[in-house]
Amino acid sequence: MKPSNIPSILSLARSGATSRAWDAFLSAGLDGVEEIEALTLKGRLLKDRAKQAAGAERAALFAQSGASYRRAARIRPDSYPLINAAAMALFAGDGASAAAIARDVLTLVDGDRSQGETPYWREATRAEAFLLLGRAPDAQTSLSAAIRCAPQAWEDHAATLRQFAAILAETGSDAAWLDPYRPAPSLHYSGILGIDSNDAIAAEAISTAIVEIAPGFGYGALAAGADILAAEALLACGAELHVVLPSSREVFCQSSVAPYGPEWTVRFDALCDAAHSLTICNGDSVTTRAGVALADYWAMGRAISKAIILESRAVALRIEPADRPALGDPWLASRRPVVHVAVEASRPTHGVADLSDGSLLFTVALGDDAGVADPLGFASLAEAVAAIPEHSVQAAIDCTSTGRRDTVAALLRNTPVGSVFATSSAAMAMLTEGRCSRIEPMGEMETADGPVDVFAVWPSG
Amino acid sequence: MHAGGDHRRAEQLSSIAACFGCGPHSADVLLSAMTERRYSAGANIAIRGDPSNMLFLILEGSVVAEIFGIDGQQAQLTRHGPGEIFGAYPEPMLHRADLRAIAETRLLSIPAVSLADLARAHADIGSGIAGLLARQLDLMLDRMAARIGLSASGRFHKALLQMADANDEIRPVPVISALALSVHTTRETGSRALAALLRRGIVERYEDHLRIVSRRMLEELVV
Repeated sequence: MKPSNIPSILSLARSGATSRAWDAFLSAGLDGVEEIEALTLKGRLLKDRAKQAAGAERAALFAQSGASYRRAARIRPDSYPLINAAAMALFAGDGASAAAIARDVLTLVDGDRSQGETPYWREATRAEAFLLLGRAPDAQTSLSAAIRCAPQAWEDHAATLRQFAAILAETGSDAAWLDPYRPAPSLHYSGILGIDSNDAIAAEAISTAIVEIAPGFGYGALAAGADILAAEALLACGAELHVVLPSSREVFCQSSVAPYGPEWTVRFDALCDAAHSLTICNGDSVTTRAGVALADYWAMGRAISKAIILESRAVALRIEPADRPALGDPWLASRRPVVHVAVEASRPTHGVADLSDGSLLFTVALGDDAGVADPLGFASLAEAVAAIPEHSVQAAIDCTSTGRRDTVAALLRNTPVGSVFATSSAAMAMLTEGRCSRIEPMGEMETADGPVDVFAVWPSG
Repeated sequence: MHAGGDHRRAEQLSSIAACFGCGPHSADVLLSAMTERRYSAGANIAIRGDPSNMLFLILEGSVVAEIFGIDGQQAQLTRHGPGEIFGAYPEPMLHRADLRAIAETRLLSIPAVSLADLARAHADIGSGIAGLLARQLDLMLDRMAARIGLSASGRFHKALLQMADANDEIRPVPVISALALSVHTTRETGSRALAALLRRGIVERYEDHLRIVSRRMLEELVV
């Protein structure tokens, strides 16, 4: 039976509070418990600690991690802990044990068709065992077979690619052969409003650029003009369309679509209905420039997050006149690729539906040994991230168009010591500007304004 | 009744059964006393001080409760989402706040007095109302405490695990919109979560059941 405190310990581990997770594991009396769930959790926690250690301590922790996984596999033969045991042995510097365990994995998988949890993981586990045995061609054949089993299990493909890259790095081998297995890139699109709905030249240029990038996933808004043309091109090439709007569908249509002609409204509605997801990132009752900036952060952050999760690339598409480059585009700070499509403005937009300004506020709440201070407010994300000390005890960060600071204060109360938590808005902004290396979903915080998705973040720069 | 009407009625019955945790007969009894209401984004549902005779169940969309503070500024008390209830029960009262839809919203309404009568006559309806009120109280306390709980997809994954039998099978295939409602999320979120599980092979769909292929992987997604 699974001990009831395992989920909370796993949650701590996922939040990056590695030491606290280990302490909680020990406090719960789970060390020494010879049950599969406790042993695999111990293997995971020791692996996390090993990644933060160096030299002999690192090797020893990897070895202990492998031993835990192996004991779990002895209780019930299972390729999941066993292949982990093999990889941990390699990272501990014990290639001979890694090879021996990998051979056990192949025997287990070949002899029991129920091994491997899912059809994908059965073949991917076989591929990893071949890789640990130094049989790269066999690993490639098995990896291809695994992907054929579940061609759209992109998250699983990515987990395999990450693990293979680590193994190849450990053995000093070339990892370039992994690239063809990477999923299609994610795309963030945006551009000018002033395109006529019948502008076939602009439509063709946008479509050509998107076909060339061949994205699997597209993120952006649906304002009249370039946005809608890009979204239509994404669907035409079979990509998933993820729409992010700064206000409700109806309010956004009234502010940014309908004023430019009824033909755009029809296309907007069709795209909303066909989209894989439609996210409203702001509860404001009007569309403001600040809300648009926030929605841009969300769309860009989600494109980057998708690429990180899937071990693929994130690309931005900017559709604008050649003499109006995207100065101030937050994407540029991420140093990820940008593709420009030059178009001519083919209809006037000035004065058609001007938006009010509004402003974004970045708020930070800090906790230290002395307690919790009042939340701080900043006009830029750079200042807000800089306010978080490098070895912060506890910090929370939010980005808001309402000026409210109570959300970040509430978030800090939920933040474990040793972690930095961010609201969706702040996490997406940090990813966009390259101010965090990764984010990890931690759940949903209930507030009077509705639920807020919460992420653990690792600030950088 | 035409096919669209049949489909809508079936969806309403599934939603009621999922939210009240009752059987098909009780769901049918409840639905016969209920009326579906639709509101466009921004539409007023009730004004503070108005008589409140109904209990509302949100099938789709969101409703905010707002009051004017002592400084004359409008303040949001709370926001109700899919699967939540608001209004009067067991007796009519006055609305404590202005209620406004903030998206296209679909509600089922039932007179408070009728629901109280049904609760007295049908044990599983009474038990369902108790469960609904308890969940609503939990949600309100979570909002007051700004507590972090599971994400919407995490709640959906957990519900699938809880519905599975000893063979990790879920029979019959659940109505996704109703299951999503029971964990306070939208049909779209539930559909996307299930589609991702099917895509990854974590769950398989058969004509009459779902099968959890990897319980461990599904448990890892309860976040």
